[in-house]
Amino acid sequence: MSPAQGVSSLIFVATLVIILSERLDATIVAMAGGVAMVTVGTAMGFYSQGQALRSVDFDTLGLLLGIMILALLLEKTGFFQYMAILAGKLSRGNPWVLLIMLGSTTTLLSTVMPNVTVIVLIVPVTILIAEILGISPVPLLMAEALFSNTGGVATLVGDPPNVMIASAAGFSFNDFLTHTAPLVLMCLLAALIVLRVVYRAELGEPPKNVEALMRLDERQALTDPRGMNKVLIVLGMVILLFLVQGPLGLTSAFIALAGAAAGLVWVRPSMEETLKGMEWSLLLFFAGLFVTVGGLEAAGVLDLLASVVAALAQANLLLASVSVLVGAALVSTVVNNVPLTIALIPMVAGVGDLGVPTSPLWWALALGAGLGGNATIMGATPNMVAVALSQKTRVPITSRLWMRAGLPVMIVTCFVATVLFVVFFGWMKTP
Amino acid sequence: MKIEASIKDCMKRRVITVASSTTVRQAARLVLEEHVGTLPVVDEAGVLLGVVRLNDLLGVFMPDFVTLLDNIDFVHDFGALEQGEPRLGPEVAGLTMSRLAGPPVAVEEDSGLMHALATLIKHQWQDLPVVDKEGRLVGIASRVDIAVAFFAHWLRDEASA
Repeated sequence: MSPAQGVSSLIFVATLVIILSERLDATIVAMAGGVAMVTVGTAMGFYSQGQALRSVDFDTLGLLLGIMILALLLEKTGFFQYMAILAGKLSRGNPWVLLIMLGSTTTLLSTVMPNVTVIVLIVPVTILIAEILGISPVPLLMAEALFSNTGGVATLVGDPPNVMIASAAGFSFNDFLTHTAPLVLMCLLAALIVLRVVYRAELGEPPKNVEALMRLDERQALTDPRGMNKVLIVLGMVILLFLVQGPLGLTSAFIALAGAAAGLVWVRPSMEETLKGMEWSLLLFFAGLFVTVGGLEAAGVLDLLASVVAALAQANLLLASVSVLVGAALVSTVVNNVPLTIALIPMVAGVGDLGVPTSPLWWALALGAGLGGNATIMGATPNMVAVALSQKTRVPITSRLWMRAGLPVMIVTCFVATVLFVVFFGWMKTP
Repeated sequence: MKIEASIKDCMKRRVITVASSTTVRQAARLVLEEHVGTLPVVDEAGVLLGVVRLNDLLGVFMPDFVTLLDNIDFVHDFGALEQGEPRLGPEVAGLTMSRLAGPPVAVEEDSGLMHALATLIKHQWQDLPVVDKEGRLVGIASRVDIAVAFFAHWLRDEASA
């Protein structure tokens, strides 16, 4: 190992450890790590400012930015509340049906919208419905958080790890629909069974005041119905373009940003108000980590690691892929899956450079990183948001309360995903 | 319009106050008996420590999650929330004013009406405590008291002009 490799590894590991210790805001650490890498890299001659700029994955950032803007436009119209009320009324107060309806609404929305946005907007209405019915909100909130994580794995835009993996591996929207989506569907069914068993007592509670639930007026939740129609049409066009992005040669970032621009032109909201809701810190966090990892790559550390992994993968690709799936899932239970994915992506890419087929490794990473986060509160951001919101109810979700459902769901879904992954391994080798 | 009156000319000198140790139950009883909407919190020497408004008292009874919803126009019936008394446990009724009180915002007794009005509007309060130089509570002026004094001057000026 050369001095450049040693020093760059040190900066990267230090950045990662401080992020994972959660002592400091992750965005601050990522930016500082990036600056440290460029400074040291320039001084030692292994990394330049130009290289640092080129290592930022603008496809990932552009896609996230575009989707965030569309989500903000949609959020302002009351659409999410409308959907939650509709789902609640369709259940006619039956707690088990309510869980299925709210869960599937959350899943569906999470496949195209950021998970955190969906949770932040659906959970308050869910608590309201549970309080009106006099039933425990916990099973419903758990189902929503778990399903939004799981549903997010199904599509390219469903969660940030998928966005990055797609960009690094060159996967299209359709590749996700034909690879992760079917597996995720089976995982969701398995998760539903687990929740049914875990919450059989709570879901057996007879609901009171069903008529009060039926008197909720979803149309009054829509503060801007015309705006909603506009954004939904734009969103439909965006999804349509995603489906044909391969033949048309469009990048995901371009499609999302074009959609955002179209939405903004059509709705013409106050930009100042709209941009207030942006998750700038997430975008900066990504940029900082990209620059940090870029230094690692420039110093040749990733090639070094990749050659080790490549040897393993060449010997037994199936075993290597399953190890990535299970390993990523286990690490994701205690570590947020975004930094994990950013750290693993250059390594898998490095393996590919050595001539090993990497498609199964990418799919394994997407499944593992996505499903592992269900086990604990800190495993994924939507979990933390749902738990924070639950503090305002009579039954705040504690770590123990979370694990009662989250851990079995994580174990069962990872098991289902692994079995299906092995059975359809031939298919997973295709992009 | 020239207004020479100060807040002490329109304030009420009889103020219903509470101590830091007063409970929600006791405060509720005071509101019921005295029909007041603002309860200044004072110490033994009468120094203003904080202000409890009706909103603070009522907020105790409101389920916390309501603050999460930025729109409740679509709710027409609170269902189970209207029936049971989930929030009225002893720990709620026993909450003391020291937990509920907001900052001791007040004006001094020789403060002008315009300044008093600005303070009231700035904090969106219904009643404005009035203190002396030592910070002791000497009176309270409601939004209506101040408005009456203000308009009286305005309309008198107009009549004489």
